[in-house]
Amino acid sequence: MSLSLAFLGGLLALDATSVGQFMVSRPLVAGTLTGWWLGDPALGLQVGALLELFHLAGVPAGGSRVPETGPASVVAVAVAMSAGGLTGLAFGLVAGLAVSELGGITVGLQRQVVGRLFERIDAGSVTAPKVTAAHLGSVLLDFVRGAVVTAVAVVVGGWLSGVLASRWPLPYETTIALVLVGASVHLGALLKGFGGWKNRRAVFLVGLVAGIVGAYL
Amino acid sequence: MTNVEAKRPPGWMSSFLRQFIIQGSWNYRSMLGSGFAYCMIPLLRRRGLSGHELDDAVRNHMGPFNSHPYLAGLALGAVARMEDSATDTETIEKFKRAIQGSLGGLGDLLIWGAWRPTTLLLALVLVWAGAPPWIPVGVFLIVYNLGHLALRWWGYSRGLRYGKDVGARLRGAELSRLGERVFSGGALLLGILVGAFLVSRLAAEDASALWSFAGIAAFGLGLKFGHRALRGTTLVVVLVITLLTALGNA
Repeated sequence: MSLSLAFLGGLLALDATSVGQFMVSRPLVAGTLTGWWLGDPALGLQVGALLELFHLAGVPAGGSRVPETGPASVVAVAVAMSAGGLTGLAFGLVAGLAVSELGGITVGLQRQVVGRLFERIDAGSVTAPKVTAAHLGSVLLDFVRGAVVTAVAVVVGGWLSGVLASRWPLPYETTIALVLVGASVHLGALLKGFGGWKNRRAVFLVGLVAGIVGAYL
Repeated sequence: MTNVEAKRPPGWMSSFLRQFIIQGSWNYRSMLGSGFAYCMIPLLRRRGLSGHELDDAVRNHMGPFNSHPYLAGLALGAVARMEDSATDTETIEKFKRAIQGSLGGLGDLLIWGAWRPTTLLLALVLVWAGAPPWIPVGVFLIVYNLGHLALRWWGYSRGLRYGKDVGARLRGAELSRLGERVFSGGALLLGILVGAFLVSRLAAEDASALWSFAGIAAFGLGLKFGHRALRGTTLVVVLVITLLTALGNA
């Protein structure tokens, strides 16, 4: 199972930067896809949606290090399923958040390696076949990196969740409330990104009222 | 327009398709530079270049270049047009240096800052409304990628049509006004989601209203500090959950 998840993680890692950016690697999509792969798309959607709230406001501007969401979502859902219950939900989220940061670091390392590769090519003789091979090789490297990150994290996360299963002390409602309070910081930052309170107050409040009325109905 | 359409340089379609992996070799040294050169190869080959001539032309395109990936096609198309009209290397380099800032800034604002979070919010509202898994995921992928693919095509074809003058055309485009509309739509959807969260917390049986107030305070914190608060919040959530698990009911 780890191998198939590693393959999925590798493919999702490609979507983030190297190939296409169709946003299949977003937690909402990648989480649901992993849940479907493992036989529980509803859990995948739940974990993916919670994880998405923590990544919604992130903007990968320039070369800044950003969390990597594809492999992280695979790990989050796999850990949530292996731990089961509330511990699974809470621990899956933690695994997803931690792996997204670690994954971001490996992306930075990969970019350094690719930079050195092209530096060598530039220093020697540049030919079209060499540039093509190096470019496609870099795509392959990204796939392998994503697969390795996913495989290692699924194994470690699965082991930890086995050790810590049944230790989660909070009931479901409180667990969700705790996570949503954390996510609220990200949602506030998103409103700032949309133009801030001053510029978007009216339309935000219209939505807020609609959300409250809709939830009561 | 018809004249320009008829003059699409040979190899343009391969180059257009290659832009989907233009970031494949993104690195801190040349950023998109090596990917840009990779995308130019079919155009250069179809111009009849081979051997040392081709290698020299590829080398000329390997310099540092950065852009939002969806708008990189605009520069690619423009450079394809310039190569086709035998524009000198120095002018092409100047053009790439001049346009990259606008393409990066505009793309980050319009796509990463507005379009992506807004379409994701739409999907999250559907999740909150209880839609089955494939609906929010399907709606997000279709709506988001309609915009994504349209922008890629728009950028590449504009670049091909206007060549080095595409920068002036870009300034006149209505992209900023479109961005404003998307921002407003995003704020509306964000309001709906926050409203639904608030009600669900207040109505929850074993969670006190204090959680709602904590959520409002956290939202205010994010609104005040913006992106500076994100990494710290993630760390706090990870630490709290880890600590609670470690101290939990053994």
